[in-house]
Amino acid sequence: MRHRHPSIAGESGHLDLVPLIDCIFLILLFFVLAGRLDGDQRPEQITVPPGRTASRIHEPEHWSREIIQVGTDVRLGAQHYALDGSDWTGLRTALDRIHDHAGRIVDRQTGRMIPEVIVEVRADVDAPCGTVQGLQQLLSDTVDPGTGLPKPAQKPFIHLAFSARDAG
Amino acid sequence: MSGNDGDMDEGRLDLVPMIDCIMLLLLFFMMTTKFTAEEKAISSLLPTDKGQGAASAQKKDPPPTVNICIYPEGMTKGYQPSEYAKQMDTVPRLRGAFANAQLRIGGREPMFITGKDLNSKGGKPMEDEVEMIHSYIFDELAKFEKPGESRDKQNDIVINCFSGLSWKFALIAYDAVRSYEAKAGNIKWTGNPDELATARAVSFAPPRIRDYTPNELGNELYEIIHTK
Repeated sequence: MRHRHPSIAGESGHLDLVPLIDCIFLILLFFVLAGRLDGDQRPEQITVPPGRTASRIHEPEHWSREIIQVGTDVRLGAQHYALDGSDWTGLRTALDRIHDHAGRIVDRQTGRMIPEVIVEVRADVDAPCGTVQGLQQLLSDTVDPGTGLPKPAQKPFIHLAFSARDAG
Repeated sequence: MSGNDGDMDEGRLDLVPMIDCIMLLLLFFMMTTKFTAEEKAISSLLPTDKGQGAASAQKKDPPPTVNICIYPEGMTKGYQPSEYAKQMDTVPRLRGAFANAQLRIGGREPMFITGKDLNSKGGKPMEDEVEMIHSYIFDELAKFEKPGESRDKQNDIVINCFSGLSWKFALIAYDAVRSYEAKAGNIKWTGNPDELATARAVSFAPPRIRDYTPNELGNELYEIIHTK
């Protein structure tokens, strides 16, 4: 009886394609799970410049994170607002709704009830700094966005996170 | 021999069409996916015992603060607001924004920040730039330390960044300040809000203007450049 050497061809002389298909499926699975489609609305979310103290934000249990994006305009959820703050009354109204529906904890400094929300301000690296400054003021709720006049803070957000992204 | 290549041959399935499909899918995902770095952010805590909301606060005088001033390159003290407004037209720009900036703490000579180095996602020029900013801020903040006081009793830090400058300049200064606090207070930032409760307050100065006319911008520049 002749000894047969191992061969990639099967009994019938056909190539055994099963290992090849296994490999291709694994690679396909990797790209499906690890990749992110280019059409994602925020594809370049990295800190630029790379802050040395930047870290992944860990919201405590029951907390939520809201993202305000600053690019050619200001976005909160699906709503767009002007960079210059001319329609930030609407933005403040949206923030008020988030504030109303959030859980509460007691602030150690003042004893006030503050929302269990981390607001991340995610701005393009070349977005005007004044916009982010204005957002910080809006979040602290110390100024009426309609008149620009100071007011007692009613619904402040104090837990913020800042990041930057390269607009490309 | 069956004489028909598309049919089963000797009981075996023809796998070639399936492999074609899988290859096309693979090609699609390889071409359209983009791998991104882990999302990171710098956490911050706004003070709740300051500002308009604390009108009943006992402090009559504003507490002393350490001011970090950031403004466009080439601008120096000694001019009137209208002259600063004119100077803005001559400052080099990159992608429509001011290309470079100067950063100053206290009375020391300002340092120069190259904007394009901060736009890159890595590399030696960017690392050198970040290192230079951190060194400058570390040296200067050390001079304002109140010995024996805890971190939250140190003077608050306010970053006064010109509103027309890019956000990256303010953020890198903020990052350097936090890095200093991490070293001085032996803090490791992990993104948990609780760890900010005992830290020194660091914030961005509120906007000085609401209407971005050249005259208003000139006034703002005048204030920032002359802030002590």
